[in-house]
Amino acid sequence: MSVSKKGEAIRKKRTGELIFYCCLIAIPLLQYAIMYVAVNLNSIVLAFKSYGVNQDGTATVQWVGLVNFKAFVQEFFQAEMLQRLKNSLIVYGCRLGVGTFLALLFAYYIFRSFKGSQFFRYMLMLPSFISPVVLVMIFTYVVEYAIPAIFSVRSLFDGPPIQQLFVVILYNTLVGFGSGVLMYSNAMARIPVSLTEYGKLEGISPIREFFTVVLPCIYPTLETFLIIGVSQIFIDQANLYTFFGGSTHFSIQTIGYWLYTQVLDGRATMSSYPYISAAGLVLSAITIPVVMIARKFLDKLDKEVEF
Amino acid sequence: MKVKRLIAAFCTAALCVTAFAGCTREAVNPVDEGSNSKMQLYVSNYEGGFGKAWLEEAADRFEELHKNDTFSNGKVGVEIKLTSSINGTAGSNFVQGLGTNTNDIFFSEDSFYYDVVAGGYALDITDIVTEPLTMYGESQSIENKMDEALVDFFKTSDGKYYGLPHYETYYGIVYNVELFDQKGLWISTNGTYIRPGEGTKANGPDGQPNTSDDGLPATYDEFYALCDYMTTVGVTPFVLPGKIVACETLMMFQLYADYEGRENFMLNYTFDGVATDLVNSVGGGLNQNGTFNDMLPATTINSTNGYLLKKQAGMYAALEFAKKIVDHASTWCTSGSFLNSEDHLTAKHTYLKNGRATQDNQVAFLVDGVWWENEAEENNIFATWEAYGAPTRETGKFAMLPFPKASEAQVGQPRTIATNCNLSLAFINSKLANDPEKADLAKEFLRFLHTDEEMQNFSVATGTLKPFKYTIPEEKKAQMSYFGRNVVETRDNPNVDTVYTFSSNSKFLNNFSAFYPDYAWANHNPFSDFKIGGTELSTVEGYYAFIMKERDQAWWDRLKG
Repeated sequence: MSVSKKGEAIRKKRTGELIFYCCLIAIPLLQYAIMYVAVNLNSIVLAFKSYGVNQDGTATVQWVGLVNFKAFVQEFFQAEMLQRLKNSLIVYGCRLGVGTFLALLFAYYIFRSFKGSQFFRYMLMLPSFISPVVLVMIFTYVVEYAIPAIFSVRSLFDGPPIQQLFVVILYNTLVGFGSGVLMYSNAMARIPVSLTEYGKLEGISPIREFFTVVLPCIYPTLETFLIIGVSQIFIDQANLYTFFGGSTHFSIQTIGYWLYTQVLDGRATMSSYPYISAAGLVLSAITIPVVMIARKFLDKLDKEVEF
Repeated sequence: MKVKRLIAAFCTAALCVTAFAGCTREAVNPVDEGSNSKMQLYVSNYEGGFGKAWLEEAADRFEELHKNDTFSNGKVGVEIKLTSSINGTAGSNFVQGLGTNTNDIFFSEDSFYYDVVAGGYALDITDIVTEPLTMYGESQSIENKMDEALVDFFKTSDGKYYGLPHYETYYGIVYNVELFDQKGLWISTNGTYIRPGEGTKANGPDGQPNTSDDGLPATYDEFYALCDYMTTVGVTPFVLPGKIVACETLMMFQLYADYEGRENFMLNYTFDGVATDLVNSVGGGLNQNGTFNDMLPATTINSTNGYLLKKQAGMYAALEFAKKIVDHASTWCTSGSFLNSEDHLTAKHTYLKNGRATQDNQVAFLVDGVWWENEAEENNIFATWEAYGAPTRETGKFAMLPFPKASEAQVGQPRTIATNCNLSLAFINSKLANDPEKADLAKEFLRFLHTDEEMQNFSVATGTLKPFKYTIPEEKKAQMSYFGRNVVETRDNPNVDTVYTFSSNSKFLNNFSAFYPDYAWANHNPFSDFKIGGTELSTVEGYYAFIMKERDQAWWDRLKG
């Protein structure tokens, strides 16, 4: 085969590969263009508009500048919204402090193949197979009937709002446990055996191994989850809607729940959407720098272990 | 290996099964072609409390009526295909998705009519609404059968109709007439509690003898005393759907409307008139005249000062009523009444099973909507407890309690019922404008459903009413349950004023959700707040202060329109 023919064959092959690549990438790109760019662009534009209906059945859409933003900022500092902010931070704090920490510990337990680790691995994942609606129903019956019957106490939901919120957080911690443990234990499974065996030979305790060997090795995974957690502070509705529907008492609502119900609530009308869009943008504007700072901070903690 | 496969198979099955946990029994894909030999209409029906039986029966009659009709594409006869689901035909998400919805006709709920119209989703049906129904032997048009408030709202300013209200709804307190008979819970003229035949029943809230409310509590105080008495004769007064606290708030809304009466109450929608019972403060609670000691003089309401209506005495009278129930929850309410596991369906179960399938006391009152019986029937709740001696829809004697009045001074005032029809909406997909033949058929179906006979059939099937003027002959009433007849007779009662809470006021149209009934108390549910306690919202005075703060002039000025 001559050089030119060989070159042509390679070109053809590369063209074919390029076409295949383009076909492969076109669908996700199209989806990105529609579902992320177009949809959000529409939402962003909507935030600067006012939508009103007229008695003749037509709609009047006007540019109103920052009116919706001003209205939301005003509402943001009202007592109820501040309460929602407080609850969002409590939910995040509990997820971070309790959920993540316990998930790491259990993942380590499984990683070290301690007694019953395989059993826990499956058992912790099992709830993830069940629909959240069903899980919430089961959990509700447990806290409202089973626990009161066993311990002769009142329903755990029958108490001050903060108690109700912590019962909901308990549920979220329990159901989030399985996926967290799975992620972290999978990350730990990648740690070279030679590294842990070396530690054993050196006689390090499990606690020291956890903090000095395992955590640095899985830090990129942990960091990713921590950053995602920060970005979700304002959109996490903590399953409140599944628990209480639209009737959640304001004192246990999170900002995520408020946003969710503002959009999903059957009573929302077109005229309410511009305000909600503006609210979403303001919350994004708050979230983005927080996420960037968190990332920078977490990056500094990264020991950049490579294996 | 086998065990692992087995576990994997189990998990997959569990995932598949639970994935459908929130779905309803039917969800037909509208692109399913079905029979090609007939002209098909795809009807999307919200299967909430009113279910689908009424529609299936109506569809059968319509198909029969048009079985020999021929269409230009060679098709003969009509086929109505139901594509129903709970979530797919209600709420703002439904409205937002109408652009891609391929169904032909919709019977929805919680849908804002003007969003549907402004979005261009509904076909102009002015002709079928305004033309007399002569082909069905009637001289009136559908428009003639509508209340003027409904016409004002549904007829756009250029005289067009794009949709119609679908059903007439309101919440209230359902009571068990048989239990009143058995336990002797009727109030006599001398104030004692009697069984039928043991004395003369008192006049009840309408103040007139020999009417359907005789023996029922006429005032709030009589009602509270009755609840206390019930607890002494082995009856628990209330079961409340604890999870859906909005039900209680919506019941309070009816109490509020009943207190205010038509003129004052409709100001909340028209913002045009004189409010005659605004409070200046609520300290000291209701007085002997059923008002508050610190009242404002009559005040003219217009589009600039509608926020003053948040001072209407009825709002705070209803709060006092709610507070009393919550304060006595331990004896007046079932144990599940404030639990999150007690929703609108489980509350119906409790209402029927307590004292029959369980050792608990029987329950006298259920807080629910007029569709409760139909919903219980379609969810097999009556059938579940029938074997334990619970009444069924056919054998039971239930009725909607006429609300007691705030004081003796108000006894005899007309009973006022407010209905926003659950924002139900019947309309035709505007896409049918491209298919005139099908559009005509869809219009014909809608027209057919609004004939007197079909509306009567709707009432027989659901035990409720459509928001149109029509009477139900005795032979059809005989097919209805006791409760269904009670609903019909209530509207026919000249001493009952049904107020349709709609208007074309621009403030109302542009802030529709702000005027939704269960948002009346500044978007709060008083039953929850009173139960939780420990905040400024745990007293009526605190609530008043809160509402004055939240619903002030600045709030009003922020509203559009």
